[in-house]
Amino acid sequence: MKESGHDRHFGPVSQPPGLVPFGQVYRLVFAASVKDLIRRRRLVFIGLVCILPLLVTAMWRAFGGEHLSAEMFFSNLVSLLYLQLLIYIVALAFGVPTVHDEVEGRTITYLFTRPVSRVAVYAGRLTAVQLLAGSLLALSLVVCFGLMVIGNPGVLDLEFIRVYVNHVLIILFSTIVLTGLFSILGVAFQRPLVWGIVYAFGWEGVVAKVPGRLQTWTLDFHIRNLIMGEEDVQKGLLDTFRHLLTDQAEVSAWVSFAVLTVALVVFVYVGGVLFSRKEYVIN
Amino acid sequence: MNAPVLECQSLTRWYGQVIGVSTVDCQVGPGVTGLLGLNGAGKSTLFKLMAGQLRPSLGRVLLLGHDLSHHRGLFRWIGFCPEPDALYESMTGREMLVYLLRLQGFDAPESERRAQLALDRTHLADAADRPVAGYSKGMRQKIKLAQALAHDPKVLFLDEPFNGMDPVSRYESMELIRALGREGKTVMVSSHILHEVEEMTSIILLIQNGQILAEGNIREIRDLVERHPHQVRIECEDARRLAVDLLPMEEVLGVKVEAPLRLVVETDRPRRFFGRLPHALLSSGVKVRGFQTLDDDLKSLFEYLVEDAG
Repeated sequence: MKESGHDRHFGPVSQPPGLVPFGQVYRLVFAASVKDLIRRRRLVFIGLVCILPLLVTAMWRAFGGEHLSAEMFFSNLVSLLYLQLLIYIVALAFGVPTVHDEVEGRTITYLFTRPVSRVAVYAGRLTAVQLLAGSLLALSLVVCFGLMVIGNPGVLDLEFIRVYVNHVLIILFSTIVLTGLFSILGVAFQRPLVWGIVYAFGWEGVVAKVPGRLQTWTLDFHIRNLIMGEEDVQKGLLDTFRHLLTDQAEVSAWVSFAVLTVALVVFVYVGGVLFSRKEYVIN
Repeated sequence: MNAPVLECQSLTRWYGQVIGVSTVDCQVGPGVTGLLGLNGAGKSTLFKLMAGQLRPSLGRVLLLGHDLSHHRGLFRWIGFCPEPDALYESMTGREMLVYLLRLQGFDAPESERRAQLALDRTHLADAADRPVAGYSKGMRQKIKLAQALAHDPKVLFLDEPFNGMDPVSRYESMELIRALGREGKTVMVSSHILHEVEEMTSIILLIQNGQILAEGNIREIRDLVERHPHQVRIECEDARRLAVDLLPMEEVLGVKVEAPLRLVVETDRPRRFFGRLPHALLSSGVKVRGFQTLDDDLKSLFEYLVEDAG
């Protein structure tokens, strides 16, 4: 098929042409978005932030290896650094601009004057930012693993590998969920980054630490619950302290997994619907 | 006028309390049509409504009889060159065209072929493989034009397409727009410069305060302009002497000496006046440093139209 819906000869046409197939638009926007994101300075900046756990791991190898087991060190690294800070920074940095880059750059005009489904455009861009956000964190975790085990083969037992793989999967899954949420902010608000920071470090940062059932209304609670349900992360210093002070709500890891999965589906759906109905006045 | 390809019915758009476009009814047929208006008159809003960028608060836009707001597939027939200087900066010109062509539903080889054609038509082939971030202002305008016409649309909306172009690029682009009109495309070009539009078409729509003030042949508008006296300011070395020499000319209604080196001439036949002026100046022997027409612009035209309507 060379072209579809175009008639070469001018004149009234009884039927209006249809849209370009959803899958084709999705693939094109996804590929173009990945290329665009790779070329942006944002990737370098966030890449530098992701070096932080590598420095901590290097310090552990240099000074703390004898006092803290690899398994416990990694649990604490995940709990304190990745889940408290990095997944939010990465999800904010990639999620908020999902659509906002096109709006701010005013190139959205070109997409909105094409015979394409806006949902396909949104899905293509969202998948691209989720892939990049996840890849960046995965790379950081792989290098951390390398720093822990290279020249230190004693830590490589089955239990450590199981904990490592589990934590990596949970971090990546959480990042995908959070990116979906922050993408909605980019669609809906003019200053999405401000709202994103308020949400990430206000609602999630504060409410998730409030005793009782209220904390179950945060994503942070369910993300942590996945790790706690799987791993005895109470050994982690921060969590031990928190557990002593607060009354943790009892929710199984499977329920938390289901909550996060449903949240992801809802975020993608809401973002797609909002984007397809939103009108951007570009001047 | 030919059968309308594009029809606006009671098209209205508010931005909160502000009216962008108000009850616009118009029909546009094949060929080039100029949309003229001062800055802020509502040209861009009308274009965005016609091109499906904005949803009307009231009314509708019909493209070949189909309501644009109900059929997104109609974008296959529309080419839109937006006014803002916005491009995919990290792409090359060719990559950008191919990407947008593929979003029009063309396969990869056909998109490449059409991209090359559009690059050739807009004289951008030499710069095709350079990132658009490094393009000059004129080249950026051209690549916007190229993406609007690359998919061979029936209707093109070109919003201030000559902004920032050098004279050569401007001439080439005007030629291209005239050619598109001759090919049977329906081309709407917006501008706030009367003579710019006049070089491409005789059919115009005049918009002011979000409403169509007049539509039709540009000659009628030109005649209307010529019924009103024009003022020409002349900077010269001896304003009093030149005033005495110009007053006897039959096209001159009056002369006012503003300063020793500056005078203002009022004429009711500007074209004839300008035709005879060089001879008059040579006879006078007064050296002239510059001219400035005070009211031969769009603003005056709108004022005359409003006066005549009153």
